[in-house]
Amino acid sequence: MRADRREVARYLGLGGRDLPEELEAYAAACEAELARAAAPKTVSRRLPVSQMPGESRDLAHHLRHCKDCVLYAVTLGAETDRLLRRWSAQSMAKAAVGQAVCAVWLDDLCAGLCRDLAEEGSYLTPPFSPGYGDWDLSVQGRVLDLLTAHKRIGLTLTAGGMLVPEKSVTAVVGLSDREADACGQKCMRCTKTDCPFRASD
Amino acid sequence: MQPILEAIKTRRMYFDGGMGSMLQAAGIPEGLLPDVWSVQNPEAVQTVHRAYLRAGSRLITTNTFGATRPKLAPYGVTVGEVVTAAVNNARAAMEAEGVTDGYVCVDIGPSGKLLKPYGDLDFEDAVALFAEPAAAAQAAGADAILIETMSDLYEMKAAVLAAKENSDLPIFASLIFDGTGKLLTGGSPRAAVALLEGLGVDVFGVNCGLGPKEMAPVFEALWRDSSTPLLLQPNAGLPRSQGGKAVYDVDPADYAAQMLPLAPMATVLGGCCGTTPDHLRALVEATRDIPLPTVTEKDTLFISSYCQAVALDGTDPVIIGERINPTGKKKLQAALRAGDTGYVLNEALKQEDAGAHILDVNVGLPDLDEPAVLTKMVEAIQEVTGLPLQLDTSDPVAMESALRRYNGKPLINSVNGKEESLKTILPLVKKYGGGLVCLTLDDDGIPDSAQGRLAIAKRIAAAAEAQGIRRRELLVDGLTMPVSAGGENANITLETIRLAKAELGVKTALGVSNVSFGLPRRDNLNQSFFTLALHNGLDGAIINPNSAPMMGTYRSYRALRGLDEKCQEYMEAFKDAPDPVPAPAVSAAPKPAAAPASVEMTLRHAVTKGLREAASAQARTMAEGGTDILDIINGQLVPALDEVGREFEAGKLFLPQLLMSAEAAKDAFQILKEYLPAGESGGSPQILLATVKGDIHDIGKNIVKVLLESYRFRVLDLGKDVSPETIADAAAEHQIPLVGLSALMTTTAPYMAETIRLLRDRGLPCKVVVGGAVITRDYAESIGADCYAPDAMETVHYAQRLLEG
Repeated sequence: MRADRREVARYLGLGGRDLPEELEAYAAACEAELARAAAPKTVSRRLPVSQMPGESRDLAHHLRHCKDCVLYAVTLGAETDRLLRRWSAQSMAKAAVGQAVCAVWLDDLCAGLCRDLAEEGSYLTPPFSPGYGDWDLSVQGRVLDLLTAHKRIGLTLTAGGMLVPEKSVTAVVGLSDREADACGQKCMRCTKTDCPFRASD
Repeated sequence: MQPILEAIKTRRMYFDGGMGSMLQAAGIPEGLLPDVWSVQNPEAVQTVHRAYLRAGSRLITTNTFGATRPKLAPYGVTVGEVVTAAVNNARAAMEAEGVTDGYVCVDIGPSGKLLKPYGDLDFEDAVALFAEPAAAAQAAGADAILIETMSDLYEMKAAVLAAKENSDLPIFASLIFDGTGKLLTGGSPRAAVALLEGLGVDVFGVNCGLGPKEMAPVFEALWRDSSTPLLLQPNAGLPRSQGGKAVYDVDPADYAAQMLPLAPMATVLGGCCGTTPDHLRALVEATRDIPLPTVTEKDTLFISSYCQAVALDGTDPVIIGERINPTGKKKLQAALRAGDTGYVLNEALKQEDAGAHILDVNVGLPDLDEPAVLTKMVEAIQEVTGLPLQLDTSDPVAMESALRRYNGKPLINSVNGKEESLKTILPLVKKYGGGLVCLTLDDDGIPDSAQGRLAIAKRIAAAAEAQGIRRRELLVDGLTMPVSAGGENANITLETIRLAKAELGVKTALGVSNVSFGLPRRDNLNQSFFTLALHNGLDGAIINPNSAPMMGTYRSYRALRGLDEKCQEYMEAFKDAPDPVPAPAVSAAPKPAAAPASVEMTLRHAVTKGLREAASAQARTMAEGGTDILDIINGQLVPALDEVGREFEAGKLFLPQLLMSAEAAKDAFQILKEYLPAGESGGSPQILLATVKGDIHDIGKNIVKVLLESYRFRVLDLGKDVSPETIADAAAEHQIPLVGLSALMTTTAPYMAETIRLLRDRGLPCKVVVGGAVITRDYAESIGADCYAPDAMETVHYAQRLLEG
């Protein structure tokens, strides 16, 4: 794994610009240390759209041309959280860079998983996660159960609805036979145009 | 009938295989907790048990993997009802099959939650969760408890304690490892051995996650280190997704074949996901004539954390860092009194970087609530380092409190030959596990001969063994006395550890540097005594790892004794160290103070560029040179921070650069504080920061904290997942003028509103600033916050307006 530096910059809040040289080296050092701690894991399951938990018009619309979808979860593992906590005690600068690197890795992990799925011959909708639109975060527990995510990749949920390990993502992608549904640029369909982390087109 | 633990040692006994997949085949609906069928469809469960009994299984696992209160709640059945029904199902199946030599093992699976501090399940709540099935197992007349598929050693500890405290049944404990040979929470096989043997479980091993072939390396690692019978229950290979279901490809014949090479190490065999009665039948066929393993007692003492173990093998010594001990350390005393965890964590991490293997933790101060503070510090240190700890207290209540919540198997410092000490400490070691430092003193004081000290060591060892604590778990401390107080003192200490090791077969420990007390150039004596002690068999050296000469001595010893292969660690440690040039003659003249102009340039530059070490060094040079401290702050630190802040807000600098500068300024300010008259440097906290209840993401809050502290605001950080009551209580107690709240999730933001409501209801005069990913200006207004901070600098500006006028 090597995180795209422009993406790291975007997660540090300055999208569209390159990291200055000294930060570039700093980020590389952080990334090397993180790579020794991270244990990326993924789990996925193909399901009929009808089995998606929760009532969500946005999700239904998102998957409207799909019969099946793939639910997945990815995590960078418990040791990644621990290293970030350690950095928080030593240097918040390092912790902030570490956060950004992890965010990029998670994106890459999800993208890699989707690439593998796409090879099976369907067009994939962009990922849609619990908490997007009106798909309530309370479905997260059921999502983890459907994936047996605790046993398979050690992913759990707190009472407050947070994924732990923290550096984790769950999402669903629809499998469509319409090319028009194919995954576009990741932020393009989001309506929050003033988001500081929005990817430029 | 023969007790289960005897039975497994006299003949090959087999667990059963997969239960969930068998119930699925029997038509259990997707999403229904299988445990519920123990009550609602006992025939289906009994049918599965009977199939395994016919295949040759005699250790029948009850259908109670998920039988905890929160998981059963939606179904309207209690843990007691499910466990009782499940035990009865197993018994009924045996009766139906005419089996009279079978045993019922009540299955306890993981909670599905992650424990604090990484998740939100409190350790004691986890113990309480597992206490119910454990007590129910006892009441229902089960033969054993099987705790299985645990991926976290901390949760395993909670479950084992629950089983020990609520039943007297034998305990089988099984972990799930991944393909990298680690637990999903990072634990190594050796750390597992340390913990589980410390807790005294009867049988332990591995299940689930992997097939027999993939599991072999982990299982072999357990076999090498353990002195306990092992169990092995792999899946039928690695899971593969097919049609939305997990399928397992290893067929019964292959499964049995892959188990063959492991069977000679396993006392108990069985199966897990994907295995069927056919797998078990093939397994029994293939392995029943393989002789049971002879489990040997290992001599190595393992000390562990959540993830790793340190081995004290009696040959290769380890460093126990002594710096977290307030005796004679003013800054640490102040930090402990103020609850400044950050200072303690930095002391811990510095020692780790210097090469310590274990960290001693002592917080003994007369006016401190030692049980609470020791436990809190141990948890905080374990949150940021994987080094095992040595719990150091003379208060047995503090010892038990910290020992109970410790994640792993620690060193326990200490027991001595006094009756009272033996009576209170040994039962704790037996219950929780731990390497035990044994001080060779008793009611008559410290004997002035090695033979006298050895006699005490013998007494302690005998008392420990009488309680079932293995000899290898003991480290005899020969008690280092100042050589200035008696010419034989060092000899007696050295002879004590040599004799203890030779005659008792124990490990040894010493606090090394006490030898030089009262003499000049203590490092000379410390280094030489250290070498002598190592040569006389010192295993655990309690020293200051930040001392380069002491670490140099240690590394040299290991290289010279052939403990450091090809001197690699020695070379690694000193690769950047220049050979010393001859020292210039010591001049009586003081060093000329550097020119103020260039120094001023440099401190400001160092902060602007975020150079922490340079900033600290420059701050000290300026303060030593006599520059007025307030001038340094106002002329150097403040302009540097302002400049960086402006550049950040203009989008010219990134957040990490802003934080680096803030941290450099904070470090410099810490130095400058030493030069301020007492009273001008401290004071009561001005700003309370907390991440609200339910929210465990605290990076945003921590960023704000660093920035505020760099501007010299005094911050009281309550941490994450903090209840409204705790925040209001602290705000009232410290008369806080400004409260900062952070929330990251839509699910936890309501607690922010509740906190503000409570602060207002109690009529506290504080202002409230809020921030976090999901917080908007509108939301902040709607919940009655005084300020919305969209980014890190905004809180600083608001605090400046509010508190500095």
